[in-house]
Amino acid sequence: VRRAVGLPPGSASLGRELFNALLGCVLIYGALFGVGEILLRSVTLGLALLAIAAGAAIMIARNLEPEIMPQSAASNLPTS
Amino acid sequence: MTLTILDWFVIASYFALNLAIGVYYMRRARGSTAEFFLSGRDVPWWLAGTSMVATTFAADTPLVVTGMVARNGIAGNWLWWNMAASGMLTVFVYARLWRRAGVMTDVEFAELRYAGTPAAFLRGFRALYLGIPINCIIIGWVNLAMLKILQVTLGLDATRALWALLAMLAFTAFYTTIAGLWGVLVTDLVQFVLKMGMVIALAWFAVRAVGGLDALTQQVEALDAASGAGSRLAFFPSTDSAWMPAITLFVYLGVTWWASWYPGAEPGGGGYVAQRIFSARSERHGLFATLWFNLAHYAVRPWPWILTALASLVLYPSLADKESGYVRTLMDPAVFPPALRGIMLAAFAAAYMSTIGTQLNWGASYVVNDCYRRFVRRRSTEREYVIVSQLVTIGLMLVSIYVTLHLASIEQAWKLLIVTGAGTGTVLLLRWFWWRINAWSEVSAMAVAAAVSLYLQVALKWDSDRPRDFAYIMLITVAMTTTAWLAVTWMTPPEPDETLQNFIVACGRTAADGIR
Repeated sequence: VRRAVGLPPGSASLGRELFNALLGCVLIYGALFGVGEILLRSVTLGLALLAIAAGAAIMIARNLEPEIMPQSAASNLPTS
Repeated sequence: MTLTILDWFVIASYFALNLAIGVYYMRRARGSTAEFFLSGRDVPWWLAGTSMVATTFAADTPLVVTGMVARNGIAGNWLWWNMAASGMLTVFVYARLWRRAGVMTDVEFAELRYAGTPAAFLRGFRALYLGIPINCIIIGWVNLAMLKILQVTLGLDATRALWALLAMLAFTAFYTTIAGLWGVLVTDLVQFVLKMGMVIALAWFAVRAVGGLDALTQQVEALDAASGAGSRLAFFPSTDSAWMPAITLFVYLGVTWWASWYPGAEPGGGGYVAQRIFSARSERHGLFATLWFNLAHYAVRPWPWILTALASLVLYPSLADKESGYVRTLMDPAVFPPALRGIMLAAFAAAYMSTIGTQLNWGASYVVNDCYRRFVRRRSTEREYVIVSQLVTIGLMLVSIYVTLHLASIEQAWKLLIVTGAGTGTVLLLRWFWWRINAWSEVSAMAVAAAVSLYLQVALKWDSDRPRDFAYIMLITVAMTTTAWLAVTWMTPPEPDETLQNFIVACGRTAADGIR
């Protein structure tokens, strides 16, 4: 079917997207519990969790970079 | 609670601002249904994402969280925190696919991916089922919650509170009707800033009233020690807790988020979240809108609510209705400055209106795009479709009033109806990637999920409100539904090549991975 519409075989981007989703969970729970720790328990642990969340955000940004370029092949596909 | 002239001036100013936004976007919304329902697909990520999170922050949400914290501690929030993984899948896997699909509603997707009568049935059934009964029941709940808030905060009797509520509902329906999605999005932004600012302010005053953060934790620990019910400051539930036994925790963390469809938390995205992705300026804006929504939803909003909830436990330990502790803090002059009451009430109105505006516009999009335009008047002018959209928006408001007044008798039906989504998540997630899935896969998943869940709840009397029963209902329904739709998929022919090819062309490279 892909060949019939002139598209190359399936890309490998799904694995990267799933990995980004995993990093996204680290980002969200890291930020959520980081703030909670700072407010109610340990500032040190809270800052560590926020640093982990920030690390996840940076990794996501690096993974996303090639995909969010406006001139990507996908953006030029017709939209039926 | 007594309001001064200044309070009323603040509240009136808030309503005037919303009206001005509605009037400003009136001409643009009339242009076409793409403008009325999708803002011309030209919305920046920060506006679309803020609108999503504003919608999920209803007037009663802080009260619900207060109840969770009072009953089960901070860990009680795992009842909704467990859905973050579903949100992240939507952000990184599905948001761009939705934007690329070029549809106006997520139910329209059925006729992009599938062909023939089953596809048309799926589209029409979902549009009517979600757009009218489910949508109006959700509006009814929000209405009832706001009704209670009006009674408690303003001291109104039931009749007066109902009139005040109807006035707010009609006002929201008015600006939503004249300004379409643009009006909803921009008012959502104003409303979110206002309500978030005020819940942060309330948390600050509430914590100050108990002597600061350290005093707050010490006093909550003292209350917990006296009750012997475990720490309400714990972030995670203990595995032997009655409200979240290990099996239920496993189901929440390992199954529910991908297996269960629920309005507002659809596996792979859907509903008003998908509507805002469609309205985004580009795929990139759609992705970042959904990412901002999830960050704000899970990581930004909860702590001000939780702090106020903990403070209310300390301030009013003997309060029978723990949820009302949230409202009590803002009405207590020893906690919250009376001078800020007007703006606080405006914030509650904002929380109510942001949810209602979205539900009305989103429900109308289903009724018009997937019923009227698809099955009643296939080729008419955009002008007619916009007028019908405006009439449907008003109609939904009127139906929601009827539902609100009869919600007590409807609620049990909802509890049974909503289980039709349990176990259908797998087919919703895989339909983008596996060519063999056809319309019958989705129809059979819905039918079997409903049949199994209803049998367990009605015939066997399992109660989904009981944590263990919920876990077993979920596990059995997911297993049987998945087995059934897989069997039906292999027993029925795949979609025609032409349909699959059109789908691949529409959705581009990533969606087609896995298609032969």
